[in-house]
Amino acid sequence: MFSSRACMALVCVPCKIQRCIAHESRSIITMRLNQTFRFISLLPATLLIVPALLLGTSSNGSAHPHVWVDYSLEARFDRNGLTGFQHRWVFDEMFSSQIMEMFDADSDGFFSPEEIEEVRQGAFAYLREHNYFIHIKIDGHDFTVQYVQDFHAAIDGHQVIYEFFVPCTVAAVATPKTIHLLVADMEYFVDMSFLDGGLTIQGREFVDVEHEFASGKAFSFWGGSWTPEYFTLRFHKTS
Amino acid sequence: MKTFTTVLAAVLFCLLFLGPAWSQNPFLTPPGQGQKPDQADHSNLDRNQGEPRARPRPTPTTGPKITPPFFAKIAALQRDLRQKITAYAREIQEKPWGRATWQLMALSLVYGIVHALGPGHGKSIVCSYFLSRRGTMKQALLFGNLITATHILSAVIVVLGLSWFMGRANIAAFHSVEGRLESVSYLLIMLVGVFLLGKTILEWRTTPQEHTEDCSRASTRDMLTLSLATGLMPCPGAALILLFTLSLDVFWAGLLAMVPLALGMGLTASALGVFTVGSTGLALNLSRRSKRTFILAHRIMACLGALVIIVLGASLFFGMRFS
Repeated sequence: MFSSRACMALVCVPCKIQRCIAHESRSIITMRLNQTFRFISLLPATLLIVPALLLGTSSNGSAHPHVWVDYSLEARFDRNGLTGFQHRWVFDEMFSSQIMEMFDADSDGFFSPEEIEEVRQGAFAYLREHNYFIHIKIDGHDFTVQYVQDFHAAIDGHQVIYEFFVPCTVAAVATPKTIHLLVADMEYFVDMSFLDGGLTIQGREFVDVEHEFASGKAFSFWGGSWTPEYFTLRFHKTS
Repeated sequence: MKTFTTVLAAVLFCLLFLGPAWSQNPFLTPPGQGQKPDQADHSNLDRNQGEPRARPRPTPTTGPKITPPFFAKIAALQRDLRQKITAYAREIQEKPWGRATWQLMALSLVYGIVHALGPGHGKSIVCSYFLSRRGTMKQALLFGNLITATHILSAVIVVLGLSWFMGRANIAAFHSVEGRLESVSYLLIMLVGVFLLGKTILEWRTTPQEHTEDCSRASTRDMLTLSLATGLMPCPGAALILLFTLSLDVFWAGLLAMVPLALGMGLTASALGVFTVGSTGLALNLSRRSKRTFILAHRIMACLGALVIIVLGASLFFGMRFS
């Protein structure tokens, strides 16, 4: 009695519902997928924004060099071992002109002892706050530079030169001692660069010493992304 | 509103005089309170090696505030450029209006481009503003140049003012003024950020969903305010050139060099601005296919940009006090 069409309809009702549900859910899934895709497609654009922001915001207002210094060093030894390091800092002309402007009151191109004392108080002593930009490790242990000696300032042509001694006594024994020395301003207002061939050693007769200027593990920052060059001195008592 | 402006003006005025009167130059910056500078009597500590070791100071473990090697390259380039600038300035001293004058101008342009690549100089403000507000390429060019122009103009005014009142200006005097202006500038940046965030949230809550086809646009008024707030802090790089030429008695050449310097720095800042406008535009266009994503994307960016401005201002403001 049933017509084939009705039969088909009967059979197909649950089927249709099922298909309908399947279609619905598929469309929801597609929608979700589309949304996710759109979010993912946003990523490259976001990736473009991030470096722009990072470049812009990477650091604070004036943390880039405004003073340039060429430094050279003398490591001094006596019969007991290392006594310390004599530093010589040569300033760039622009900052030099300002130091002269402020402290060479008589503009005679020469710093008198009184003027040197003024330079020390007004444009050097504050560096103690930054350990004079000197970072020392003795056999891996930090040695903090708290004071310096024999400060001297001079004018050479258009440039100002600071000279001072950093005491750091390390006894020389039979087993080798290792000293790492980094000169750098961590705030990066001052750019410290080592003058080629600027390391001399005084008192070679007392110790066997070898040295190198290279980057390595002793001073490595930002998970190794900044590895500045520093000095490594290895010495032991001459037998 | 009027009362608020008056109070704000009063606070800023006080800050100008009570604020820290120094900048970051480590050679000329007195140590923070409670810490004594190096005294002559330290020289007799040398016999007592134990003493300095007894109070160890924090050794650098966090690393410098730079991200080398990119910045190291910039620094090396700046060093060369600055050396050339000093050489040309000396030549100008010998022979005004000679070839050196034009070389100095050309060099200042290059120096400006390179100098502005370093941190600071309002680039971050330009970028975060265009993240927060949708701008056009023209606006990016305008904002980038405006912000560096005020930055340099401020240096010119400070140096001129100092030489006017003191006879001869020097870097220490400049830093003392810079330090005061800095704190005011950072506070203003923070306030503008808060204002932008507040405006974003207000728009968000008052505009019904169906009307949010368009996102908040950059306005000249905002850009002008931000330029004044950021540029208030004088550019130390520009000041050094000015002071150097002043000490050589060729101040006019230094002043003239400020124009190409500002243009060069403006080029860098506006290039970054154009880049941000382009990438935020791209992000928003991609999200435009779905209205919800679009609204979400632009709201997130609007808030994020304003937040970055607040965080920048705050970290600089409090950073310089408590660091």
